[in-house]
Order: sequence, then structure tokens, then C-alpha cells
Amino acid sequence: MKKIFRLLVILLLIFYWIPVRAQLPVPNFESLKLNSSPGFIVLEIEPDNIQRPGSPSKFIGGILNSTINGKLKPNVAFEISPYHLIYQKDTSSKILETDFLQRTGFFKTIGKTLTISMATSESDTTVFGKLKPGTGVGLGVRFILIDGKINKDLKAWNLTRLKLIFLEGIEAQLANLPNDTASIGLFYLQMEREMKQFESISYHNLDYYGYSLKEMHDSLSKWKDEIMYDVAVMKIKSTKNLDKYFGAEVKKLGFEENSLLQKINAKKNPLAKEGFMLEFAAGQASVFQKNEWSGMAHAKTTFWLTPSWRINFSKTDLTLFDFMGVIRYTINNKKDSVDIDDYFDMGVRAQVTQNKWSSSVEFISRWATDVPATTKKKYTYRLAMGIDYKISDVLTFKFSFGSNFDGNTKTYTDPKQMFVLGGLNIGLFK
Amino acid sequence: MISLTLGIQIKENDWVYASAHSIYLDFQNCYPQKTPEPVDLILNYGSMLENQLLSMISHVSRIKPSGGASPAQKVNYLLSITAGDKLIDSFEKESGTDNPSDFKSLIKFKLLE
Repeated sequence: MKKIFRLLVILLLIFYWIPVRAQLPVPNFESLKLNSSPGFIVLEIEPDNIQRPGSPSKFIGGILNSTINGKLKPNVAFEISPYHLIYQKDTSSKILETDFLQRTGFFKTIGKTLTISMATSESDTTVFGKLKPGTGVGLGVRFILIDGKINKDLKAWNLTRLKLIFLEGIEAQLANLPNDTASIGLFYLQMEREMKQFESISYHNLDYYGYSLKEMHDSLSKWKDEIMYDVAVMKIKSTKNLDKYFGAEVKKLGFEENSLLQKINAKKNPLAKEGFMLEFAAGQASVFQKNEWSGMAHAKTTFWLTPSWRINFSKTDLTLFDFMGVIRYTINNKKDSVDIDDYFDMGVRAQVTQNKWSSSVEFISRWATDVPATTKKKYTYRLAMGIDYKISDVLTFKFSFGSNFDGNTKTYTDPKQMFVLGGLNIGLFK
Repeated sequence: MISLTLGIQIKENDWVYASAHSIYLDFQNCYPQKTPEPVDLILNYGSMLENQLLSMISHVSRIKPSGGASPAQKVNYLLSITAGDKLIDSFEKESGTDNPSDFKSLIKFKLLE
């Protein structure tokens, strides 16, 4: 038992988060996290190695206390989003064009989600090999390559409301139309033209609707054919009958939309994106040896991809299952003996979020193609489990424990060390 | 030129809205894209609008991003008609808590002088 306690390293984490301007609401577990920014990861002081991509904030700053070289040390990091710094968010509370429903395409997604982070810490003498102790500085960027999708109720609602406003417009025209055969004939031709126009706009804006081509075809074409069939084949001859028919259709769609909105608003986090996301990140760590400007040495450069999948289990509660992975390559400075070879990491993380609770487990394996003759293993790994509890919108308690990577290839065969982390994520402004 | 602007304001910041609009001038659809709210949508020269009917429906749906909300937050609807920089007339209306809410307007243009 004593042996276990000797191996126990306790880190106290206190994060002070300063999200200057809140983005569209996302689960606060994610919005308050800076601990997995590329700046921290490249310095290897992160409590979470894999994190689900999320909406970037204009600016987040944080202080992270962690044990480095056996002592508790404060580390500082911040992350900025150039897009959100340059383009001020529309504050009129629209949800459509600017913020949520519109998926903006590959390059725009990159531009909107690009963040730049910087972190500093005392350099860890194991992680940075033979470099002299000093201050480590991590610089990082990350952006989303493939964004998630809106949930099916939101998708259905978005198209339903647009169908509804289309039919309401038609219904309003009928109210002002003379009740004669010629007018009805002209109305039918106009409606056919407008239906085609509506269909064409819908197909042109598939991303805006969140639909695939097939989904849009299945949803819209059938509906359009039914309406045109009803109006044309059923030979509704007077504006009164047409008005009655469209009134019933409008009422039906109105109920449908109302019911969808009730379902959406009953959810804890109705705008949470689901499905597959892919994030790219890169970071570079330098060490200012002996804390001198002239002692600056490049230590390592790291690139990684984070694929993630999200499934929402519950129709009303916030019960999200996230499955994430990481593929990472680290180029070490071999000239200054940070390590004798590069690292290749592969790992997975599973996370369940239910209302205020979030629990996760992550496993990452690290391989080096070359190790010193005295080291028998070519790999090390990180295995960590964690629990987050949201105390309030700006305060989250975090607890995690497990084993971290062994610092460098010389220590791969040393006994695995355990860590325990406990602390708070604190948002000062929301 | 006479132009039209529609504005929607939601009363509480915790809520967001989506709006869509059907605008017909003399039975011609002059806003086929339907979203977002039109700003300075050009209708025609004043003299060409004589006796024409402008029929509009604005459809506003509300969502609370943090969820768990009922009834829906009210919204304010503002319709303005301008000639260049000059405001000719404006109309304002508050919705109920129905979700979605519709605002319907029917305007007939008359030349006064």
C-alpha cells in the first residue's frame, strides 16, 4: 500500500477561464475547457489529451497549476479565434444565417473554427530531455475540417417552417384573388412556377437546410407532387375551395411545426451538433533554457487529427455519447537530444455526458521507432479516467486519475507512475 | 424608390429566433428566398405602386438554446416603408407566446399628391 502512495502524484488544478464573449450555447463542459489546447498538449502538461472539437470563443485565458519536476507550478495559456475577433457576432439573436443552421463549406469552416493558442510552463526535464531547465513555450493552432450535423428534429423543423411560409404566402394570395375560372387558371400556373422556384432554392441551399440531396428529394418532391396533384387533379374549381384546401394544409403544417418546436425546446441542449467531426491541430514547443532569451531552443513539433462521433441518446435530457480518437506525430529535436527519435501516438476516448455529469476514459499509445540500447520497450501509453460535474454555468468540478506517458524513450521501461487530478474549471465571465 | 424593411426583435437574450417571409406585390412574389428579414427591399417607384397590393406574412419560430422552456418568448415585429432615406410609415406589433407566430400585413398603396 505504501508503495502505491509513493507512486501517487497529486496535482491540484485550478482554471480561471475568461471567455470574453459567449458563442452559441454548447455544453459548458466544452466551452470552459482550455486544458486540451494545442499549446498545453505540446508542452505535455494537459489533463485531457483528447478533446471533442467545439465552437471556439473569441478569447479564453486560463491558469493551470500542475506538478512539473516534482513541484506544483502555475502555467498560463490563452487561445484566440481570429474569425471571432475580426467579425463581431450578430447580437440580434438570429439563429439562422450567421450562426447555426448554415453549414458554410470546407474552407469557411476552417476559417471560422481556427484558433491560435499559446501556453507557458516551467520546462519538464524528462519531457525535454537534455535541454537545460527553463521556461517552456507552446504555440498551437487548431481548426475543424469536418463539422457535425444538426439533429433530426431541427432538420425537420427547418424545412417544415419553410414549407409552411410558402403555403401561407399562397393562401394569402387566394384571399385577394377574384373568384373566376381565368384567375384560378393563372393562380395555378403561378403556383406551379413558384413551387419549382421553391424547390430549386431548397436544392441550391442543401447545407443551409442540413439535408443531403436524397433527403431533400424524399422530403420535398413527394410533398410538392401531392400538393400539385390535389390542386390540379381534384379539380378544385373555386377560390373558396382552394382557400379551404390551403387553410387545412397550413393548419396541418402549423401543428407539425409547433410539435417539433416543443420537442426541440424540451431538450436540454437542442442546438448541439451530432455525428462525425474531424479536427486538425499542430503545435510547437520551445524551451528558453535558464530562462534566457539567448537560450531558446526548439524542442518539438507535433501534428494531430482528432476524429469524433456524437450520439444523443435521449429525446429530452442531455445524454450525449462521444467517441473520439487521435492520430499524432511528434518530431523531436534530436540535435539537442530532446529525444533520439520521433513519436507516433494513436488513442481513443469515450465520454458520456448526462445533464450535469460527464465521465470519460482515454487511452493513447505512443511508439518510438528507435530507443536507447538500455531501454527494452519501444512504446509507452497514457490511460486516464475522469469525471466532470457542472456545479453552475460557470463552475465545473473536474477529477481525473490514471497514468501518463513516460517522459522520453530512456524512461519507457521505468515503473509506470500514477497521477490523480482534482480541481475546478471557473468561468469568470459568460 | 420605395423600399421595405422588416425587423424582428426577441425580448430575452436567452432565446433565439428564425424568421421566414412571404412578400407579394400585386400577386408577384418579390422575395422568393424568404430568409432572412429583408432590409431595404426595393418595391418600385412610388408612381408605379399606385393601387397595388402588398401582401406579407412573416413567420417567426423561437428556440431556447439552453432548452427546457415553455411558453415561448415574445417577439417584436417592425415593418418600415421608406422612400430613399425618408421614412414613409412604420408599423410595430408584439407577438403572443404561440410558437411559431405569424404577422400578416396587407397594404394598398395610394398616391396622395
